[in-house]
Amino acid sequence: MTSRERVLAALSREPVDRTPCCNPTSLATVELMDLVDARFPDANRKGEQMARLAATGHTELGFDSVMPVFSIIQESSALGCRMQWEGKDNWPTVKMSEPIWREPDDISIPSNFLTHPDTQCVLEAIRILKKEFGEEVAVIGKTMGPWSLGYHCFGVEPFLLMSHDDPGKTMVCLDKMKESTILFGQAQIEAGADALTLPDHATGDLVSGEYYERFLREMHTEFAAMLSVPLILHICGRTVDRMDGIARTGMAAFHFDSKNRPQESMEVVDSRIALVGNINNPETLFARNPEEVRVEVRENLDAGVQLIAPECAIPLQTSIENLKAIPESVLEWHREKAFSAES
Amino acid sequence: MAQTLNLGRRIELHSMDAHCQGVSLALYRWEVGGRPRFLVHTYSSVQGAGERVEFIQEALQVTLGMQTTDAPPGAERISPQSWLQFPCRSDHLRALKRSFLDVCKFETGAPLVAKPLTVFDKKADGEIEALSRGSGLYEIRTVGGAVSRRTTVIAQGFAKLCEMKIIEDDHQVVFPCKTSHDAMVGMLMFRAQNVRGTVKEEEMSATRGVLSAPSQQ
Repeated sequence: MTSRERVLAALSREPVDRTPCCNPTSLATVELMDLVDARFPDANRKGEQMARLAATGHTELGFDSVMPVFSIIQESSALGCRMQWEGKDNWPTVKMSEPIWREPDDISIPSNFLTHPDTQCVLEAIRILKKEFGEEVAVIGKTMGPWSLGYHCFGVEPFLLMSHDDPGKTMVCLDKMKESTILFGQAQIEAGADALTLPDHATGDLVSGEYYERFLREMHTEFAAMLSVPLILHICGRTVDRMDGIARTGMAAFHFDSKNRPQESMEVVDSRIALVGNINNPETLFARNPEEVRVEVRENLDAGVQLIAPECAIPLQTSIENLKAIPESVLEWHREKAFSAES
Repeated sequence: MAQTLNLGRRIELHSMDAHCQGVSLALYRWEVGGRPRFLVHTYSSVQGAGERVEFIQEALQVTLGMQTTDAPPGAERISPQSWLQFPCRSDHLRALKRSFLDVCKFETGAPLVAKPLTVFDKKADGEIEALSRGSGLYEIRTVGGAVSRRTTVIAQGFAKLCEMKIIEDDHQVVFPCKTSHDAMVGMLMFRAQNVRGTVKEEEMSATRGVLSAPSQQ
């Protein structure tokens, strides 16, 4: 199988020759930026640099997919949020203390949303990667869900308070913001994306499973029906309490956090959705050694997790040897299984 | 074909160098027969990056007392030169990592000298010295020879930063390798004077570059 075939088969929970290593979020590091001379913030804003840095996920690290949308702010910038682009060694952020919307009527998707430089660069990067890797490597795009956009455009606190005080108004806001998710997702599919990550930060720390059910599950089901490529939902934190709902959305996969054990997560989703994950970022990939990475990869493989990946965008200072240890450990695990099956 | 190299374990990273177009400088460790060798490396090919790496290597030799050594077997093809080691062949990992980050703050071409073992200490309102007693043993005292609560605090700072052992009334510290490292002690004297600040600086640096969910920002 090619890398692309492997990823797409795993996303469909079909048989694969080996478990793919797939990165639904960023694999960018400062050393890889130096290697290919594509640094933040330019690598978040210029399609050619974005593509060059994303390609290293396959060419240098050995993953089966490439993913050029490193950050979570491209659409928010195009929607008019105030941005802090930062430098090479830090993530761009939205100035959420300066919200652009307060009421549902404020919400409007600008007519230049898809031609804005910060969405255009994503489309250009996907086109470049598709041309470079064609049928060989899976090209994954990213379109942000409405809950994340709500945080960016309304501010975290006002948006959460609104969800508590006026659920009906919150639903109207989410419904209006979902247009951005669909538009940007469709544009990336047209540009050549084989699959899309859909981060929607209904994170375990602030949003309950009941909230997920009430506000988001139906909308996520709608996304799965409307966007014609496999969708990988990404939500950080402890999310076992909503995995049953997520498994019923029709999304292809759920990118899950290391706060959830692989085995318990596999049991909850019960073969209704593929899981991608869940190598810990801050403690393992960032601060430990390949041996510890290997242990976590094996735990996921033993549990039957369909695609192996870091749990979220990796810290920019992560070492290359720890990242290479992910595909190396996958190959090693499969070799051992094949050997024990033969003997 | 992949261009990244197997250089052993990366043990420290200066992610954005102010003196060379923001390149990332990394310190790698490769163990040969239980003995470590170290390499400064950058993946950047911008103008001046090679010179910058050479300068940092030289700075580690002068300010930390490291020596050049052969490339580890297997690494000759990748990087035949410029590997470093301590004369005692030990790790001194914590001290090396801290000093590496500190020498990255020196401008390329800055004069390099080993730092003295005597410094003025504002809190003690006087000079403090680290007197080498041989075999890796240092006595922290005022220049007049007295010990105080302040000398004890600085000794504890050395114990933490250089992974030394405290002995003799809390004002003497010894390296586990039982070898004197005057340059290292001089280099880290100012850090030992304010170890709390050093730890805080390291903690802040560790959170940089980690992407948080919007709700955590």
